[in-house]
Amino acid sequence: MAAGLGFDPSQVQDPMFMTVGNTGSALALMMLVAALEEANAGDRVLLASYGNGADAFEIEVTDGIGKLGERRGIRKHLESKRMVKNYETYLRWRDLLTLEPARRPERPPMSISELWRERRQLLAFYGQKCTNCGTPQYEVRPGRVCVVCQAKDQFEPYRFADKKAKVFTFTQDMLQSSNDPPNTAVVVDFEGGGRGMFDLTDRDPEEVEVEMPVEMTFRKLYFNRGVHNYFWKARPVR
Amino acid sequence: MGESIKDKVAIIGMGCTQFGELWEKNVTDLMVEAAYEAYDDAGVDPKDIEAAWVGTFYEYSGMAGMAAGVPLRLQYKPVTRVENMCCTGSDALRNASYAVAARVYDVVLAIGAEKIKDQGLSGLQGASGAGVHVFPSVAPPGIFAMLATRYFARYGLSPEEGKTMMAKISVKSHHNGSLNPKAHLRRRVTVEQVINAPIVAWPLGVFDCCGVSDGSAAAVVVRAEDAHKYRKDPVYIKALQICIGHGQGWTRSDWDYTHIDETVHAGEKAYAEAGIKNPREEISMAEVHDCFSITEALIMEDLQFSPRGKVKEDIDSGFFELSGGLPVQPDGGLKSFGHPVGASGLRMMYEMYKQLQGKAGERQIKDPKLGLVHNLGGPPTSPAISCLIAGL
Repeated sequence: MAAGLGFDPSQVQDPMFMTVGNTGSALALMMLVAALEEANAGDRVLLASYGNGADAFEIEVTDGIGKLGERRGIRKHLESKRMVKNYETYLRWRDLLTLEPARRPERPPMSISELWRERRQLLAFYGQKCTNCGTPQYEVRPGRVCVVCQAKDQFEPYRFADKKAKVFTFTQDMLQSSNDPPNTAVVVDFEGGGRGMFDLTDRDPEEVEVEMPVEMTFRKLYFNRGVHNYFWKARPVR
Repeated sequence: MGESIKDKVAIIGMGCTQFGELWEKNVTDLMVEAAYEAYDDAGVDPKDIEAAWVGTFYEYSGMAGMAAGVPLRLQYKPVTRVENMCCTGSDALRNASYAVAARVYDVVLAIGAEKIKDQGLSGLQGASGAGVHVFPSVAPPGIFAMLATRYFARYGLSPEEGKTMMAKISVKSHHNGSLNPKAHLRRRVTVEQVINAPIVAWPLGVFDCCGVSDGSAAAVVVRAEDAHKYRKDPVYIKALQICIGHGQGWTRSDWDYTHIDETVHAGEKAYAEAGIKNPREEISMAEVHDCFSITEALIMEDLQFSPRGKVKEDIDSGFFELSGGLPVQPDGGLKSFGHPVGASGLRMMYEMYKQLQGKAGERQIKDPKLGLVHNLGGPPTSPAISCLIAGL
């Protein structure tokens, strides 16, 4: 397609099929991010995608590109990838292997209205900070009354997604069903205050210890009854 | 502030079923057996019961007042269902006691029951229903295991030292349970067996976790001044306290995960209500909520039985064994007697009641004066804790 438009192969951005795979509707924008990571002021970028229709943008890179600062983007995400240990683990994560279910309760349904209502906590990973006593606090269903000073409705939004954190305590659970046993659950304390309990992902169970530095990462927990359940997990800092 | 409950209310009869995997019994069998043992023990007619408080955690064990009204055929009587997770049974007794203390009724029943094993699950079930489900994929043992991880880290215990400390707790409880015909798990175990058992949630192995059981327990409660009309050895309530978490455990980073605030508060208030100055010396025996071995260890410190960080020394010296200075779990505890959620608080009181009356058979503690019941509901991050004290 690029050749048909008269482009030299050196002008075409790597579609990342060998490193990431086909991410569907996200792919064009991911390629744009990758292109901008290598771009210099004055470069011109053609962003074109098609599906049930097609669109195209011409983008000119300005000297603002140098002011973006440190970002993980595409390149650093790829550099920080962790290889799945074996093929069976991959099959389990992708739900391609049928296993005898654990003798534990079935996953209860998700409430669409509650997923929408609590989207700020679930997707953007915001908590809140009490403006009276200054305590940052994270709950999926945020409190109206401060857990420390009991002030009512005196909160400002507080972003946890970019905070560094440390493992305060943890367990390796063998009872609950899992794609990647044991389930490593951690209690983490965020730098600047606030605590939460999360799954620890992309980890070697043997390496988990108290005080281990972790960072937060946005993941799909599972798909159930027609709903994708997205949330945040902790993982060892990369 | 209201008045203390001390010596205003007495238990005049108690009943408790066999706990276990009771495939041939339904929840009606369990409640009838517990209630009628309590009626017989109290010398009351079922028709003498004026009101009842029934504890069930799971809706399949019974919902609303009819949870007890139907199986016990309490015809046209007021019955209230109580639910406070694993703390349900002791809270049913607390509510029943307040009703007679308020002189609204003269003779009431507190009963708890659970029929869990039909569900075919490993361990207990948490919340169901549509909602947001993003909590980590851990079952209750995992949540409590985090107490152990932190306890080991705080006090510098190696995994081997920590697991040995916890193992001795379970060995003691299995020993006591082996002497109890109504207990679910009656086999004695060794420290080596406990340490080497399969892991459920690191560092907790199978023998660090309590049994999950079917069962029921019940108490008949009257005002203290009426108690001697029924029997010569009633057991008097000395304190009834409950303390509920407010979410601080999962939001505040200043909680240390090596104690449980609610137990500390409930204990302090119960000691004040009962007029106890030195719990380690004055409490004769205790049944506490040993859902997991590490939970019992923390409770010993939180109730001031052991100094902070020093429970290991008391465990090593046998202080909590049947022959020790302060026997804990004389009936085997949740560990060995089993844990039918809504019944457990009343089962604990059943053992204190029998011990105080000198009717605990092979497990009898010499001349006990005061028995303490500690019952925990919910996660350690924000639990319901009741602390009841009974005595002669």
